[in-house]
Amino acid sequence: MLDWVLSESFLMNVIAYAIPIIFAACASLISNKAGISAINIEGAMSVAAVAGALMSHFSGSWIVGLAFAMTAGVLMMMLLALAALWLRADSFLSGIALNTFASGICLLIVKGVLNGRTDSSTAPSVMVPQVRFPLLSDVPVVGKAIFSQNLLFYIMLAVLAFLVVLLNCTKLGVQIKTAGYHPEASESVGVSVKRTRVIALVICGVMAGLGGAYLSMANLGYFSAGMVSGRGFMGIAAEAMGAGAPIKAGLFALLFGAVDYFAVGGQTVLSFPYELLNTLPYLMTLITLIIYATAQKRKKG
Amino acid sequence: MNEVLCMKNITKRYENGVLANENASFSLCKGEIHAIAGENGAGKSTLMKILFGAEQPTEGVIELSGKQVKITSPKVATRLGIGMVYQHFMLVDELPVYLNVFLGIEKRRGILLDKQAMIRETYELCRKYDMPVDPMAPCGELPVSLRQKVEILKVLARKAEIIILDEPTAVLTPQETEQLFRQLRILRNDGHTIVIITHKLKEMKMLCDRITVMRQGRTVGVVNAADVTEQQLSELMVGNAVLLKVNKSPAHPGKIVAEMQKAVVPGSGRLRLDNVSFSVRAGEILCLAGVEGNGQQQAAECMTGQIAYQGSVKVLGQEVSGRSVRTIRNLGMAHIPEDRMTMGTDQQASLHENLISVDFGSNTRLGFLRNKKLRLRSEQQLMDFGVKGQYHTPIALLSGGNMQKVVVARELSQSPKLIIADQPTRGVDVGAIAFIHEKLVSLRDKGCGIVLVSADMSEVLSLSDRILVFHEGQIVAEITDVGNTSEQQLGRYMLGIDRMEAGS
Repeated sequence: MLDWVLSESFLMNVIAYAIPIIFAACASLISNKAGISAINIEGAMSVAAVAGALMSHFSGSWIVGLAFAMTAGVLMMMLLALAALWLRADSFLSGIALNTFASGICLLIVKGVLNGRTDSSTAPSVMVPQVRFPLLSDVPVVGKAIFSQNLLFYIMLAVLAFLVVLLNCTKLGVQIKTAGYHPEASESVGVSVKRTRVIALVICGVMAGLGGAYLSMANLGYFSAGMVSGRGFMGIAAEAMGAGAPIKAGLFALLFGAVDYFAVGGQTVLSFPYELLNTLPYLMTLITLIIYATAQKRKKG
Repeated sequence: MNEVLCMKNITKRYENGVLANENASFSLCKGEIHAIAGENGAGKSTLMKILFGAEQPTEGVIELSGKQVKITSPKVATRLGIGMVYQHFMLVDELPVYLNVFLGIEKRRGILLDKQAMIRETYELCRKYDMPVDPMAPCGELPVSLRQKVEILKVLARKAEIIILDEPTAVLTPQETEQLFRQLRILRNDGHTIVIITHKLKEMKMLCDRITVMRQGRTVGVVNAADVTEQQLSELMVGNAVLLKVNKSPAHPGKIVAEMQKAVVPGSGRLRLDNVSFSVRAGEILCLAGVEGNGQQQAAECMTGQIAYQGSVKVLGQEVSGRSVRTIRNLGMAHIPEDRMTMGTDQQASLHENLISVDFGSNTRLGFLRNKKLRLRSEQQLMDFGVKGQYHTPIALLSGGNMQKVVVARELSQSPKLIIADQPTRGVDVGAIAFIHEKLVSLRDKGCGIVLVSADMSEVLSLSDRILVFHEGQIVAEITDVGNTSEQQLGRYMLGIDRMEAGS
């Protein structure tokens, strides 16, 4: 088992598994900062995965696929905005409803387009290309994991940097934080909270879209029903534990990615019932959230 | 006299029919400090919200420097040079002072924030107006008086000519109030025009040049502060003479109704309540005085069973710890909570529902409510306490003073043996204050023990029989000779400058 953990492919796979979770964490972070919880990130990723897979297949271009995936993510978030900001429904309940809606609409689309199939393996996606930095990727252990990855990995790094700059160094960042921490203060200086939250949800949708696209256009190569399988929720949990700090949230998401990979990759290496291994990511989410909540409580005294 | 602003015949009728302003007029001269005085519900806040663009008038015109203007939003008001310091601060605790000061008007270089420029300008404003604020400090870590300064800086950063302050001294000690007044005078001398909304007579006399008095939505008079007495002012405000002094005979304390022994309440950093012991007797009004956040609220909350403590707190002979609020209330404790909006009342419910929420008395049969009897009881209570409203009126439609009267009616109608009154008259008009004070004194004379938590100096000194001053979680002074104590002396204890030795 130790050989497996220390192998070059282990770190690479951990990162590969963590990418969609990190995207989800980023999406959750930006919406939470603006004071609206978007638990339909899970569903938005799923819809984005369908849109990306099918559109890249039919257009023959991964760029078109990626664009449609992001658009689908944004559309799902706009449904949340419609329910929670305009119709003033509870954002949590709306999010749950939208997740259910997402799993239904995904199946409907795939079945409709591909004659009753529940996955799109007969219509494979055009994959987002891999990027390989010469020389650097030959560095032992970390070289391959960091310098020979899918393009979406580098987009993810850019997204993290974008978040840090956005929140700390821009006017929009201040507006987003104000909308989250003290919405009345925002209104009192003439900045519409609704407008700020819509913008935050658009960014959130783009990020969830990228996460979904990674699953069907870089990781697996086609859409399959239920393929998001809790990664959106794991991202939300990672963000909660990172307490709103982008880099910390990213690191927690990486940890979740490691456990997620452990559960899948471990099945071939470990002699352990795979049903139990499969519960590992969810168990991990639960345990870390409990630890996080306890630590928070102690801090508050 | 150089008139900069004129509001003519302003009428504001809300959709639900409530008339907040009726034909009200208001005018401002350049470089004056002008008070808008009146009871709660007199319409002074609404009039100022209209001026600041937060509300739209149903009728009337506003002229700024002789030109008619339409102030459709706070943004427009800001552009016209009008700024407002709200009573409830609009600060983002998590952001540093300089970002709060420039909230909404952030300086930028390209797409990024120009932090250095904002820090520098905040610093310069602080120096110019003698405000000891650190531009880099997170707002949440500042004490209330400094948070207020940040609000003023916010308005100044927007280059406001006319600055409206909504009850700015409600949260300040006498010393802090004086400091604020000094800064406001600097601002006036610098050419700013200042409006303060207040119902504190002394402050109007001390600070202001002119006073506009409002009553029931109308302006009933504009006077020069130097030309009127406090008594005349309060008559203008209320419409009939109200005693500013509380009429009461000396107390006759009886047996102990509540006592606290070495009570400790932990907090982050330091103890919220640090080894506090005292007792309350029947027939006395004991005041727990102190600047907000110095433990007096916690002491009251221990007695009402709201927070956990170490040590011993006994209410009417029973240890509070481990008992539900209900059990303690059933012993004969009544509680007027500090915040009538969230704890004192159910804002979604009617007056009747609020009144019966704590106790049905014997008005149930087989577990069902006897609604007719309960309704009669509510109507009686509303009448007894002079609440302006029907039993079915939603409580959210009442003014602050009337809302508080509902809370007081409910709590005092239970014939309590101990009353915990936490800021019972905060933000309540002169008429209602006198009424609430009178009720408390009459219950005291019937042998009820009363614990009063208050930050209002004149209330503390006029109502209490005995005062315990809290500072940083400890009792620093016990004042038994209340009549001969000055506000200044009390303020020095509250700020921890002076300290009475135990037993003296």
